[in-house]
Amino acid sequence: MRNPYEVLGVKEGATKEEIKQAYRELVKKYHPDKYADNPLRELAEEKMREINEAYDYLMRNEAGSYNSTSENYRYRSYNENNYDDFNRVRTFIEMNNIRAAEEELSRIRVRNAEWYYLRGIIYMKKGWYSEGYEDLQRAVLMDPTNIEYKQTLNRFMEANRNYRSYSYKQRGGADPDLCSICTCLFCSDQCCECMGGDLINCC
Amino acid sequence: MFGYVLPFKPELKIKEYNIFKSYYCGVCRAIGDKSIISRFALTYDMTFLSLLLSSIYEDEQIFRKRFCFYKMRNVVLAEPNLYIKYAADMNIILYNRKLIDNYLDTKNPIYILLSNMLKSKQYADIVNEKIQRIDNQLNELRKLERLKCNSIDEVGHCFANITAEIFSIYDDKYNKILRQFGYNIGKWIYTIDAFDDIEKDIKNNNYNPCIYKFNYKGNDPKKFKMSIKENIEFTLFMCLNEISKAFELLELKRNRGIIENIVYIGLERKTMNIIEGGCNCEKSL
Repeated sequence: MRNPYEVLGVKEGATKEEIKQAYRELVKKYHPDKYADNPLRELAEEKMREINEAYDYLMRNEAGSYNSTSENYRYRSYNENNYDDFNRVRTFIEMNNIRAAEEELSRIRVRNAEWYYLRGIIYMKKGWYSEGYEDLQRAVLMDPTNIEYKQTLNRFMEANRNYRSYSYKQRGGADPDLCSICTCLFCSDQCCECMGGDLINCC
Repeated sequence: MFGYVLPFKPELKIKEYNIFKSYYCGVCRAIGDKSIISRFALTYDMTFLSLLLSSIYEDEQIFRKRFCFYKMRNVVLAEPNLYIKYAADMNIILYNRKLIDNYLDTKNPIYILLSNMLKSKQYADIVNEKIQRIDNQLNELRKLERLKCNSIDEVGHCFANITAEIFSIYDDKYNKILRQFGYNIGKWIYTIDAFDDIEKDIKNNNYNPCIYKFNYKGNDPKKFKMSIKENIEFTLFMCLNEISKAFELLELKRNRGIIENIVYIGLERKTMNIIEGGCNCEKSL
């Protein structure tokens, strides 16, 4: 194993706070989400593993005893593991394994916007639209800056609108209104006059 | 079931209207062959089921003129084929279960009496397979209702499973589509029925999932309905959208026009009527 201080890019003897800070920065940089469709994904994952190991090692040793380890571990799991957990849920959803996704999600303790978002998606897939709609709305409310949540919600609304507009068309749409009748008459009149005839003889 | 699944009459061709009516009479006749009193329990939902299944699976549809004692005149009816008989059996069973349900709710013995009258001794083979599964889901549904479940989706899920079971009769290439179709139509029926009954249920102090889901706090029922409109509307249209998607994957041998009318116009109309609180006094077909 490489020198963990080097991996995290901190000085030897850095405080807990400094290590956490550095770790957070690195997670942001190498997060697997950023490399989702990237050919370098595996390398990024490798890097992430190294960073996690170094962080674990330092936190454990620095804390010295096992008692505080659990606290540190929880911190780490909040910052990083959840991403993994959420990604696992996402993978299950993509594979259409809804039951596994649901189980995986119920194991996650944090109830943040992403959690509600994923539950909303799962509900939608299950056909539980009322709950799904609520969860998606809640996710958008909790994190209004997230574009993904908003887009997903809009996609479902759009689908509903499509059905309705098709229904409208099936009914033959609206009858032609006065304006289009007038335009039609006017054009016919013009055409007739071009050919030397007249449709409406007053104009 | 409750008779929400209907074509929108003004957009039907007259010949389509006649076919729909003849299926209605066909189901009625098939019910009469099993249990005469059950004829009064005939619903449009089951007419739709018979029409859909016949249009998918049956090679021929035969119409006959028969004398109808209820209308006191000759009617054209679709000769009961396997699917019409199936829908008729389902109609009897579901009505029978509904009466038993009423008895369990009210403990009024008249319902037990009625439920004993409204049943048949013998059902078709495909029906027998389904009964057990339907009853399991109904028990589940009752349990949730007794626990005053606060998720309309969870309760509706049981009901939707029943309709999914009813719609998917064979284990063939259409099984999955019809299951999806049935599930969403069941969800739609349950949800729209719950929404439609809010005022009545509040008055009679009956269970209604909407009351528990959206935390009804004793204010004006009309206002309460308005406040939950958005969610219900979304839910209902999601169901309809899924129904239409499943429908497009089915290959029908005939009667596409009528079924299209029901899927795209009839259900949409009904939804809008009930959501907007429009009049429910639409004339029977």
